[in-house]
Amino acid sequence: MAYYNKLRDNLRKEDDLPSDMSWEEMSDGIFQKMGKKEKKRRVIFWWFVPMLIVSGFVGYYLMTSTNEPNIEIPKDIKENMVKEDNGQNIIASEKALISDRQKGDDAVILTKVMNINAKANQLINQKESSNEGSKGAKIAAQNEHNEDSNISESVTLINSDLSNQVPENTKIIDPLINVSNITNAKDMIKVELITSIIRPNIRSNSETLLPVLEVKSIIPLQKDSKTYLGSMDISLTSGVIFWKIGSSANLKLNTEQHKATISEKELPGYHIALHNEVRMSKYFFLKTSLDYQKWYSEFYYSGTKINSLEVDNVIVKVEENLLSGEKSLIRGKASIYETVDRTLRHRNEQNSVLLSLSPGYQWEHNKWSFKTSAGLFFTLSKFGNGKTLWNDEIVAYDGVMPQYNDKMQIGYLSSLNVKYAISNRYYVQSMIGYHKFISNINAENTISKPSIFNISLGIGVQF
Amino acid sequence: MIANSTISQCVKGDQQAYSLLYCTCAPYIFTIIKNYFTPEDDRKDAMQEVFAQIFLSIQNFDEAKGSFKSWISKITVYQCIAILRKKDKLQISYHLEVVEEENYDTLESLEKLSVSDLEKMLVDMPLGYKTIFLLSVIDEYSHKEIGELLGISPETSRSQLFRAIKWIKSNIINDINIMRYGILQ
Repeated sequence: MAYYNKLRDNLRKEDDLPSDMSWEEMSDGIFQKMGKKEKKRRVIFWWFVPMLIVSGFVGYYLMTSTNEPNIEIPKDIKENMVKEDNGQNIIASEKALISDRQKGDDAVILTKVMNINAKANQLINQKESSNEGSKGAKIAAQNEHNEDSNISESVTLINSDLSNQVPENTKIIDPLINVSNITNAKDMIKVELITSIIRPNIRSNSETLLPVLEVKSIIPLQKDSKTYLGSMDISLTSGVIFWKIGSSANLKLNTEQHKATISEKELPGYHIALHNEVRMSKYFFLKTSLDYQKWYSEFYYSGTKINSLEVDNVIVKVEENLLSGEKSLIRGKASIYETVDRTLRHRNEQNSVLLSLSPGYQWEHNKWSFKTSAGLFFTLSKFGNGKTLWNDEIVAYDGVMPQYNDKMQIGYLSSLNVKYAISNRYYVQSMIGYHKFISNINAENTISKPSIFNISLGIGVQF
Repeated sequence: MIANSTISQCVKGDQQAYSLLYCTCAPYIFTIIKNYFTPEDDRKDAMQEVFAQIFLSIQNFDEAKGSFKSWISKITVYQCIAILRKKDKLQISYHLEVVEEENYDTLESLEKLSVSDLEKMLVDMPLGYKTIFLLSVIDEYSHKEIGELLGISPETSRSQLFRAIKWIKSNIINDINIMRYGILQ
């Protein structure tokens, strides 16, 4: 071991630091790197926090939810059924339905829902052709109903015995579900009535308050995965992007002929993306996106270059005849050197079209949906214009940057988005996304694997 | 190596303390870095990375767990490995050769070489071998620790070390060295 101790001591022998490693020379670089490291920590933090929040929501939802999806019926539908049967038939039917629900017999429940709807349609038609009934009957019905009006909790109603007799002052507008819609609908629904809500009669001749059996929220039929399979969202988003070019952003040349500092500073850009999400189940979907991104950067060059130039027909030699003293000039080709100092700033732009495929998870709450997805992307096309250093020269390009190779570039992406339904079909959404190239976008051996962070807003439609 | 008050000042972000810490520790850190990196630019970049990391995490230094010197030495080695991995320079062969244990070359077999010759060999050694050799022999990490550091198995680390020894032996065989050492066996 003494041998290796000696080797260790030799290798660890402290010499004077090289002169270019003094604190004065190094401090700027150190502070710059500290800033980068801190920024990286912050980025990780800002990714971690939203992910934690989303996970919290998802976890909470999974812990508290039943298997029954709860879909809100629009308000205008809720105030549609008015009955005057004192709640007797209703309550009996509700009990029967609750019993069915407890048994979990969805087929029976669905049949009942459909029956109700059919009857409701019948009632509407009948109601429209009927005359107003006697006031006495209304008042009696109202009084009796009032006795039951302290039932404050919402109950589930599937009233299979919905009376064919249309009470006076009762207006039933087709409210809930169209039977034909039910069979097509992806969301099966049930009807929930709140028996205690009493409202002024919507009819103008009413002198009393009549109970409004409010259709509340319910749609408790259980959906299975097949119900969601194939439903689709198409959306368009646009927003700002921030990007980092990778570690080749700064370059120092220090050869005899060429001493220069070259850098490329990233500037914000924008993107427009078209997304298509296909639901695989209640929670999972597969997202395909076509994303057009425009990045900007500031190319900076400052340096000194010694150019070698070939010149022809210049005097390269003078021959002197020592006897006669005559001089003759020999002309020919010669190299001359010129030193060029140059400082240049130029705004470059780079366009990319990316195709991505990412599975995702979503969670819905009322009109809100929270989605997260992660996957891979491929560069379909890239073009741009600007200036760059290529073969030791600054060249202007219009099209593909000369360093860019022809290989298909790939990377991974992740995104978080929140969507809000503004109607049954349309929604608005906000999204944050992160793209990271995992293959070099640069043909040289320098590492250039940009990271792209985007924040965007958009609209969408669901089918 | 460095006064506690300087460390406290560094925790507060005092630039003078940073400067003092740098001037005190840089020569030692440089001795570690120069073994991992040969080009001057790489060494300079590594020095900056290491000190940036030291300044950012100095509040985590706990005297009870070890000396300041061993703490900065650990940070330096970690940063060197991180830089090498980031630049994809650390190409370690992950093939696990089934080698009979008795056929392993041992470190003792190199002791016939002069220390200065071995130092020279290290400069030319492939980076993957050199990294393992330095981590194992000079920085005294166990194969388990090396495995964790480089993302390889301890067996791969062990196998790479013996390949490194083999490389040294095969490269030392030239006429002069045969005369000086005989063929190393």
